[in-house]
Amino acid sequence: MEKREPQDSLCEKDENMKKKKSLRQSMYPRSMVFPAFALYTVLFAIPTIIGIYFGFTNWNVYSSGIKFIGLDNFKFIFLDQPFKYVRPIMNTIVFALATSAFEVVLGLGLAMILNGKVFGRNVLRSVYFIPQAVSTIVIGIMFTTILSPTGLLNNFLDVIGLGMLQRKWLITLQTALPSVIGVEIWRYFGLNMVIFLAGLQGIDKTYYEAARIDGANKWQLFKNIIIPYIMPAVTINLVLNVVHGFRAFDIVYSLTNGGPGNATEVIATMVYREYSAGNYGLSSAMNVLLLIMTTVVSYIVNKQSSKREVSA
Amino acid sequence: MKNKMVKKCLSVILVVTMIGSMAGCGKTEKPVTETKAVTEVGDATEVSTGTETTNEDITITVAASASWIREIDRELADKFTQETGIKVDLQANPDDQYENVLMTRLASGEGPDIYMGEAGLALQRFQTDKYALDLSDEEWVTRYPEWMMDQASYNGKLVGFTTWGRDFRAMIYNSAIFEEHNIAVPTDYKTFTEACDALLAAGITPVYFPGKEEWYCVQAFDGAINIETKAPGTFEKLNNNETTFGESEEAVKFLTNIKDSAEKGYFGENYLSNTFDQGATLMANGECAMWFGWATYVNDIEGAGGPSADTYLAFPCPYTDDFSTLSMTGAGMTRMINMDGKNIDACKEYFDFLAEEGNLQTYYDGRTDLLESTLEGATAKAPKDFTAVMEMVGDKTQASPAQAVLYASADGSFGKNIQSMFFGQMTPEQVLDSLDAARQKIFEAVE
Repeated sequence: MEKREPQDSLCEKDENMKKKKSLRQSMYPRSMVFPAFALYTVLFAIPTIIGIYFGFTNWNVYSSGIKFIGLDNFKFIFLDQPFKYVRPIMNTIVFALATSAFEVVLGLGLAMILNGKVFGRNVLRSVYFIPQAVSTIVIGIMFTTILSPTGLLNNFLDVIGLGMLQRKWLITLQTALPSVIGVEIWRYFGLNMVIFLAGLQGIDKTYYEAARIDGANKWQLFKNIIIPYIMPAVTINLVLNVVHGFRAFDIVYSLTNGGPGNATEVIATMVYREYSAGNYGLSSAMNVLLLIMTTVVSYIVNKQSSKREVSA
Repeated sequence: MKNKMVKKCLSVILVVTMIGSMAGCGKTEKPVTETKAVTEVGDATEVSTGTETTNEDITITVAASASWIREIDRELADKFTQETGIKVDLQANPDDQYENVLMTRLASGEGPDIYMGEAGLALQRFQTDKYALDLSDEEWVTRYPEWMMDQASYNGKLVGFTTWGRDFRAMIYNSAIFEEHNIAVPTDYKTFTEACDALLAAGITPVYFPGKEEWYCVQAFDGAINIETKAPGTFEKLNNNETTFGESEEAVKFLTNIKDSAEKGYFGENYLSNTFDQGATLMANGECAMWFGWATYVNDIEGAGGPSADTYLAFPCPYTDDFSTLSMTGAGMTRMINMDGKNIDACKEYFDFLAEEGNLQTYYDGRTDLLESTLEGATAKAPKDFTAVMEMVGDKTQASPAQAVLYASADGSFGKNIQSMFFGQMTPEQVLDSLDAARQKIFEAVE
């Protein structure tokens, strides 16, 4: 049998030298992370931890001291005053899930249409993206007028013979939240479309050709080629939509300010309300709740979507 | 090798730049400048050089919510500067952020020299013990009426220089419409509902209620003085945490009566989408006959093209079912001196200037929304509705719950809860329960 030790020791020596070299090389960029890490810690991590701590205190504008009270704020939210706080929590979940789902579906549908040969598709891509660039306050003012009882939408329904569908969109309990959700979908599905377009354009056309040769129809193409290869874009869009949906404040504040009554109240508007009343500890506790909900849901969404991703 | 050196140098430069930019955000101290003082000695003029500060070097900062600073305040500040050389920097802050911005500045030692805040019990929101200077020995304090001493004091210390004065919370009505339709001025809740029914029959919306405005729903509760007048001692018990609003039958009755009025159509069909701005116009053109609020609404109505302000009179809040007492707000906004400020003497000089009779009268001439002078030596022009309703109640007034009850504004959702009550999402008891829970949390925190 051949003795292989000299070669092995040479190979091992090579390996060790390579490891040391890469270690020396990686030591250099690793140490350069520290300033950025320090800034991140001071400006983000520490304030976040302190903010979480305040959620477990009785900090308020009336007393100069701050006392740790454990879970009392959360007990107050869920057990002492459920009729005041549970509705905003449920509204937030409904808002986040509904806007996420519709934005992804509409965004993907539009991306597929505008990925093909459509007259004026570049103009159309810009048109659908424009709402993303408009200020939320402007959107709020605009849609408050459009959705008013004598506004554009009701007038349009009357003109096309659908007067029985007229509603007081933003001031009726049953239609207020769906109206706010509708405006948010209108605002954000353009962004989803852009991300999906990038994903669609990344799929190699040879896959389509091969599938067509094998006799695949449009639905089979969509299900077996487009969906698997576009899953990274779906993941990105879902996670962004969910996080944004949970944090919704500006669109609710500008359209309805949580009204009528508390029909469109969400966690973020309640946080603002309690903060304005000087109940800083309770406001922080609601923020902690929001952080937990956002983290859990986006983790689940990311995990489930990532499982279905296929590398090209 | 050369590339590595370049990378290292660039990285070091970047780190130094980042650290340098952070250091640049720190305070910079102004250099001490020498000032020259000119003194006349006999016929000679001496010029001495020293480091004394003259009035021209002093700027007193006055922080307030944007809507609290009026044109007359600016005019008087300019006049003060012309007379004394001391500059006055009126710092307007967004209404919904003012309190938080102010408290942050005071806590960090960067507080203004003078800051404004609501008088009365609301002074506790500004940690007055910690930040407000004791002004009890100032000359103008002797010119305060008795009720003003309470409003401007906190924990036995007088801290506020106030010129705003009280206002009422009463039902303003168009006396011409009442006469035209032979409607008698109500004397209790029952006759109020009869008057409203008569107005509805005549095609007039009885009461303008801007239900979309959360703050207005909160202020509607200012009328609930029956809590005290029908059960004397209740306000004190509330302040000692011996009872709650929910346990007060009168508080429940008040909210029930408002809800009842809404359900009977007295506020009109779309009252929950009415905004405050529309009120003056609808009262001016006679579409609405009554409006619950403060006395100088009548000037806004006249300004919107309505009849003379004297056409509008007032009666006490009908939802209390007590027409013998008038609900009064506190003294409005007061000015306090920051005890850690650097220009305390200049601030006191500013208050003395504003309190001078001539300047005070100029102030009230410019503030036609104020009903009464808070200091002797000047008079405000009160509209006829104020004098009429004071005559009706024989000058018997009661401070509103917001003014008389500790932590009455602790519930940030109170206005929204009242709106929810109108929608049927909450009962009057639940609205009061929410307020009680918020107050109880504060009581526990300050123990």
